[in-house]
Amino acid sequence: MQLVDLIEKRRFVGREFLLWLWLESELGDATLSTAEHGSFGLWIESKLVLSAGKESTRITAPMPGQGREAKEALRRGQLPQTATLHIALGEDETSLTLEAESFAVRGLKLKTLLDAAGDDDAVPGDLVDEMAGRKPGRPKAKRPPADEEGDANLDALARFQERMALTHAREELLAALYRDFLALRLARAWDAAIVPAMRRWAAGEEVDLAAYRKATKARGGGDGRAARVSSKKR
Amino acid sequence: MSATTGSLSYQRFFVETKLPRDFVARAHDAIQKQVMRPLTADEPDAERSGWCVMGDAMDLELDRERVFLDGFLNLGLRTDRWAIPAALLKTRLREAEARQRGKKGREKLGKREKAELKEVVTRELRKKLLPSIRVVDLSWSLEDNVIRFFTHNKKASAVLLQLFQKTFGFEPVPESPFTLGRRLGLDAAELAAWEALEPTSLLVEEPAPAAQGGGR
Repeated sequence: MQLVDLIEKRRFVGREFLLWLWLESELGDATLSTAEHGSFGLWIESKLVLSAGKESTRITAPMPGQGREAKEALRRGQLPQTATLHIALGEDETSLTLEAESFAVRGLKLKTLLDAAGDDDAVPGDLVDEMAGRKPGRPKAKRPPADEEGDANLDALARFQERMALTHAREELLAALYRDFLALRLARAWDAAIVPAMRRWAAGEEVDLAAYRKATKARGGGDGRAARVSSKKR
Repeated sequence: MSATTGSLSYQRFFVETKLPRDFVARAHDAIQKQVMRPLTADEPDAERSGWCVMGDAMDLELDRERVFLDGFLNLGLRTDRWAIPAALLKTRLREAEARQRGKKGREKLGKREKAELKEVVTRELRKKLLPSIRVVDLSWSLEDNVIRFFTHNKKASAVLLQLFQKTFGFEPVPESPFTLGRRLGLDAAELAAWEALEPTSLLVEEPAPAAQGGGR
């Protein structure tokens, strides 16, 4: 198979990845884990778009995956196209919208320490913004005097480094999840155990968690490759 | 969209070419050749793109230490475009045509005359307006070989990709489920399984409607 076909004809795998994250999140009470990261919170929040061909279902709600509308869309043959994921890892909480077929990221909100410094202070213009019903913003920084320019550049560099480090960390987490997903998706367990569980879950029926975990762990082979849902019982 | 403030929206591309030892010096020279030249009213171009400092469309001084930051190559793609409101251009053109007809004592102007007039009017209007300026950030982690384009706009992405290729001489590979899988290390069996993949569907077939009673 040509490289272009391996890429273009298999973009649906990205949709199945989002579907699997959604399933894992619901079965595991929003707790997932990877070998490198341990347990962390992950759930779909605020926006979920499903589609198949020209048909699409756009759901905007605090927990868009939990309603019947989303599951019904799955039962009509639609799969997730984009989803906003909330990730809570240790003290850090972040959210981002992931495009299934390109893994492009929208609206990645980073909890940076350097950006947050001094955010509690009012800045000129806040009151005007508030009265006009706008979100208070920071005024455009004036160009610092020459002797302060070096410090300002260092500050900007530190902020950039922090943002990129946090971005990289989120990407690593998603990559670890994707690797665990692929281990399942490319194994027999997918058709034998995961898809039947997905069908029951989409239909609102009870999912045999023990059998599901057994299937995911069997693929993981004890090497920690497969993500595991938490042991909490729903 | 910016890489330095607010929430981040981006697409990822990957570099599969091994970079040469003197990459930084060569890349910096190549960048200098593609620095943004702001549009001026007297030029025929309606749109132009070039590199600027990341996060600052007006800053075109791309010193090495401002482009190469701690293992990253950071740039902004600035695009200037003349956007004359169509209604304004039409009105001014109509006025100019009327003047020209009066001057020449004719009722109609030829195609070529009209085209020339349009050019003159456009140039005059450009002198009174400012081009619209748009900037998109790009950050290339030289260590991880990942490039982040901070835009989802298709046209801006195409321009960015084109300028990137023109500057650095190779085409980065866009991220996709396959490319990420490959980087994560698909083995031979997994690659074979990938080729054989069929889409998962949870579609529930509706039961066929019951046959209508055939009584007459």
